[in-house]
Amino acid sequence: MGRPLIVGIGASAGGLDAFKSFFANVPVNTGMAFVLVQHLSPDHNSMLAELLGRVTELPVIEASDGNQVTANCVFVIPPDATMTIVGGRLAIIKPAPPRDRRRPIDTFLQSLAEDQGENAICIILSGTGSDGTLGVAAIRDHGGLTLAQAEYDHHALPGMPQSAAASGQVDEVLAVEAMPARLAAYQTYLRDVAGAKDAEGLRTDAVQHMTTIMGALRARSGHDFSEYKERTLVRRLQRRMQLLNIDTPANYIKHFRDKPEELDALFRELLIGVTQFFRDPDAFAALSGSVLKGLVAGKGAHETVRIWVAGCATGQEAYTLAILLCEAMHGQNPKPRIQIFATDIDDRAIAFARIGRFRRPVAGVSPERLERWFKPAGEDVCIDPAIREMCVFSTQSIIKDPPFSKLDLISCRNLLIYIDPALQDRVMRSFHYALVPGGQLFLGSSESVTRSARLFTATDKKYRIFERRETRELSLPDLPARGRVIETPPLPAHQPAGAGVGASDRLDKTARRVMEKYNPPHVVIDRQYQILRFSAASMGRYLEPAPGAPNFSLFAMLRKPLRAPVRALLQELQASKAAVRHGNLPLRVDGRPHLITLIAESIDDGEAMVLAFQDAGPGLSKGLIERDGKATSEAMRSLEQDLLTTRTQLLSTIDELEVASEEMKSSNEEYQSVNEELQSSNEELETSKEEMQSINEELQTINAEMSSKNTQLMHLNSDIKNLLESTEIATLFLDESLRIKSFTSGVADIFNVRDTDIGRPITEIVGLLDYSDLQRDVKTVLRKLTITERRVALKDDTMVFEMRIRPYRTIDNVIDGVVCTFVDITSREASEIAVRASEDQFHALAESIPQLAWIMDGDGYIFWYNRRWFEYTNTKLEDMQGWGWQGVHHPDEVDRVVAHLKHCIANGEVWEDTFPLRGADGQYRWFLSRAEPMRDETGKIVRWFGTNTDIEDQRRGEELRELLLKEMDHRVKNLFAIVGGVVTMSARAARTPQELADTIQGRLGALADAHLLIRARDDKSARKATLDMLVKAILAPYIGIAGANDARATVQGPKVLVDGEAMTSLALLLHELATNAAKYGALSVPEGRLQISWTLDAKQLVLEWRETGGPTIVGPPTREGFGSKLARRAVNGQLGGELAFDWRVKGLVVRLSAAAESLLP
Amino acid sequence: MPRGALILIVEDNPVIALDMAFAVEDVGGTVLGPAASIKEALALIEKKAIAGAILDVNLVDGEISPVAERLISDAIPFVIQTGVGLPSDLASRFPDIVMRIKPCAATDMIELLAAMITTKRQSETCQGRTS
Repeated sequence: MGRPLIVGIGASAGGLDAFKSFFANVPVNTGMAFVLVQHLSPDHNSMLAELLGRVTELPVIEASDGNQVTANCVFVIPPDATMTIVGGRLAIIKPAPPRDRRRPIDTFLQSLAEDQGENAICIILSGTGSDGTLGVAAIRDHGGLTLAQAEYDHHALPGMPQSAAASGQVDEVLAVEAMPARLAAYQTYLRDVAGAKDAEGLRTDAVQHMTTIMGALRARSGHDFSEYKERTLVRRLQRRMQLLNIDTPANYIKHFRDKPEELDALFRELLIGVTQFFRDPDAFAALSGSVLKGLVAGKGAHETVRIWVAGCATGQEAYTLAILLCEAMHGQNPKPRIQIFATDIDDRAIAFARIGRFRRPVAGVSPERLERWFKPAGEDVCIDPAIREMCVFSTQSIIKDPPFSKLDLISCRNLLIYIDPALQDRVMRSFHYALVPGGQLFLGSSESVTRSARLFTATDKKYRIFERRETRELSLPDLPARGRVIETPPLPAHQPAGAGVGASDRLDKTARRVMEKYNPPHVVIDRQYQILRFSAASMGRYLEPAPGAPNFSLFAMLRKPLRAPVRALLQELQASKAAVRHGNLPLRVDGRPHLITLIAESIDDGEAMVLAFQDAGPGLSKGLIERDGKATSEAMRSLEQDLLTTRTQLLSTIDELEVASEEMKSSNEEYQSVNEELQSSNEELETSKEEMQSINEELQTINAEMSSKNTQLMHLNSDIKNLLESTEIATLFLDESLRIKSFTSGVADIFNVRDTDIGRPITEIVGLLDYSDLQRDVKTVLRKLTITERRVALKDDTMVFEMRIRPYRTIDNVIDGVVCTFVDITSREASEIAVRASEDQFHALAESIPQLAWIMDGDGYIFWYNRRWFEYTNTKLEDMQGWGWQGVHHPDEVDRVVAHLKHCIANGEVWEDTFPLRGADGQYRWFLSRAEPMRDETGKIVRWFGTNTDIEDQRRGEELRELLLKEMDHRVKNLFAIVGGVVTMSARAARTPQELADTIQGRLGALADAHLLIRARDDKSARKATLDMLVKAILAPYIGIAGANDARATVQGPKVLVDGEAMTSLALLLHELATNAAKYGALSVPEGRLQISWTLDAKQLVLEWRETGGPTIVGPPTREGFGSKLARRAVNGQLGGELAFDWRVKGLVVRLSAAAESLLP
Repeated sequence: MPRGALILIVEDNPVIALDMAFAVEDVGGTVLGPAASIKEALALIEKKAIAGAILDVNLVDGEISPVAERLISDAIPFVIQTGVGLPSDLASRFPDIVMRIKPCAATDMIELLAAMITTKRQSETCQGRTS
């Protein structure tokens, strides 16, 4: 076995699980070497080697510098190191670069790719970021196998695997467990086909099939790769075969005949472009410094810098140049226009480039440039529109299609390496044609123009910058309408396998080499008679270099004697299109005559010709050399005579001939000059044609770009139209002179406009609006560049609009007229009116109620009070809003009220409380406060509507009633006590129950009379109780008082107001006296008379009770009756006076004095 | 009731006052008053050495408290009859005051007062003997 396969595995620090399940499936003796590269913390010792040692029996070695990578071993990157591989040995460099520039997986895989080619395999396992993506591309580029970890099915795990897979460079996305089997299959495949490869790993058996494959590819894709470097083609073909596990090219042909889509895959494979921003930054820096700065500085404002990026792939190179140009133009004024034509034959790549959207992180772009020239768009970044504007992308083949023209710079990097030298020549001539004199060519680092040194000179050898050379005779190479015709030879029925094929090849080659020695010298020329090939045999006899600048023109090099016959031969060939042969032409070589046979045959469908020179050896024609020696003298004589005659004839003929020849020569010269003229016009025509072709190509490119933009614009237009229609906002676009630019359908409701009115001034259009100042308003808007808003209504008042006029700014911020929008607010106004009416009602209600009303928001902030509140408290809203109302609360109550309110707000409970509020006069009055929450549809409280009702009067009334009830209770109790007293007192003197009853009756009656009098005054009747009334009331049951018919008593005295207990005492006293008189005194007989009179001074009341006409009184009674006793006590105690009885014969006289002050309470 | 014991009656209602006065006399006491006002009552206390007193609460010139305080300070036994209860400050300061709510029988009041006077006299006698 030869070199082991080397498997580079990348994962981030968390990839241990993936490593484990990978190695669990790797058998011990695979013959492969594994190198693990992990993102490791630089200051942390890795346990990876130890941990892996437990799951695999393979020896796990922490790599050290110079380790030979050997089969069946696992090498692990040491911490804080950069690892590469050179010549199968690991190279370790410590320390690792700083974190932001550390991409250990990329670094290792790139070196692995270069070192091992298709022997390299890389696997990207789980990890974050995009490390490994560039490495995968390198491995694939060098023919190795690339794998990435799958999340499920064949979808890449997010992070590094996804990033790698997204680049399109991963061959297969697999589950970790399935990877070892894939590696084994790859190894087997490589081993099987090893015999069919040459020293560089290229299959020797592929070459003979290339024409077939390329023919099929051209038929399928329309692109011709036949002039690409054979090695490149074979390498790419081999990759496809490896991936498909197809062992021979014949089988591959069979495969794509079954599945033509394989040809698409092969096509993509051939187009692989590895590209990134500022790829090879030093070269771009050099270009920017030496070329771009001068380019932009040398151009004026109206000039254009024209650049062609050939083979732009996904656009990074074109954008890079655009960025560099922008940077070069920074600060320059005026700035020239930049036009970058970016072309590629891969239409998918072009589509990608046109979008200008790149995945983060954008490799090669510094943070400053990323910030300046890119706009974030989600996960990705988009190229700045200014940069995008400079670039025109289109699909174009530098081989098949005409080039652009008048270019200042062509950048064609890493494209020539894929195509073979002949094609390179053509491309260089195209480039030479396309560049303006002094134009620059920028090539990739491994490319050069050595073969076309006539066309370009190096201005910067290191960074491959070349300048166009002035050469006159070169012109644009012919551009084939189609590629070379390729015959598809029938497949041999039986294909000898493996080594057999190689052996016959070798035999063929050797035979060819031997035979070349015997081939006649020949040249291959094109239709312009330019020499394309010289044969191996010496050509010195026939050709010699022309003096002056090197020149490959056939006729310039041919030896003079050969020119005429060769021209004739070639003309005949062009006429017949078949092989032409002119034999035995005499030619002097080194002074001796030779006979030459010229053979010409057209090859390559007439595009080229082979001209061969066959030397028949020295000498003259055979008949002249050999003679018959048996001639007779006679015959000799006659013959000599003949000869003489003939000689004479010949001489005269020669003379004639010479004359004719002179004539011929002169006419020939004439023809030549005509020919020259024709030639030059022809060249002029050619040049015009070339220019036309170039211009045409450029126009096509621009056209493609335009049509792509046009499609976008149509979409946008359609979007905008739909947007405008869906907003239902009537929109009118006017220019500065009020001409209609465009309008939406809603405008027809407002103005009588039709599509044909576009371009007419709006002032000429009949408007339905009740609004005449449009012109003035538009002028104002244009002058002040402000927005004008107006409410306008239709004349019939059926619709109301909110009109807004704003300046129309183009994308370049130039004012170009105005935009008028009309928003239909008819229903909004109606509802606003309804809302206002409802608000008015609310306010009328709120202001009319006697309560203090307020509104609070959901957080307890009171923002509105009715007028009553401010009137009552004499405050202002500024002091009261929020929680300011606490200022009018009583200090004793306010804390409780605030706590209670907060509780209600927090719990959404109905608020109800009573508390005093300070009025404008400083007095507190009690209020009953109530508020209910109003909730929105989610149940959240949005408002509290509260009222405070004055309950002060109600509270006072209640207090009064309480007091009255207490008083009543007291009086009733008193009354019972009095009744009790009357009963006990009366019982003292009564002899019979009847007498007791009568006495009680009488006394209670007197008390009742007194009470009646007191009550009469309590009832607020005008009368006040007087002594006069009392006396009359007490005596009424016994006798008529003066003025009545049976008047037996007279009552006389000044008006004395009596009240309270004095009234009770006097009532009792008078009642006892009256009872006594009725029983024993003057009132016991019909003739008895009674006189009651009183006087009142400041100190006392003196009352006299005089009975006359009664039974004769014989003296004071022996024992004072109870009545008298009661009377006396009443006077003494209650009235503060004296009571004197004078028992006269004619009748009793009672004198009573009472303190004046005791009469009224 | 000790014979001839001088009993002050303070009562603004004449009927009740008279009933009370008769009841006092029935048991051999001598009535001072009835007084209908605080002013009158205080004047009488000042003039005569009374043995005891029967008081009403609400009088024409206010509540009875000054009279009750005076009697307490002089250590003269008294009973109070009232329709509304004692003034709150008086009740809190002198929780031992004997009080009946109207209507109540005059004889009951007098019995209570008589018992208080007898008890007082006995204790004075005892004190006198011991001293």
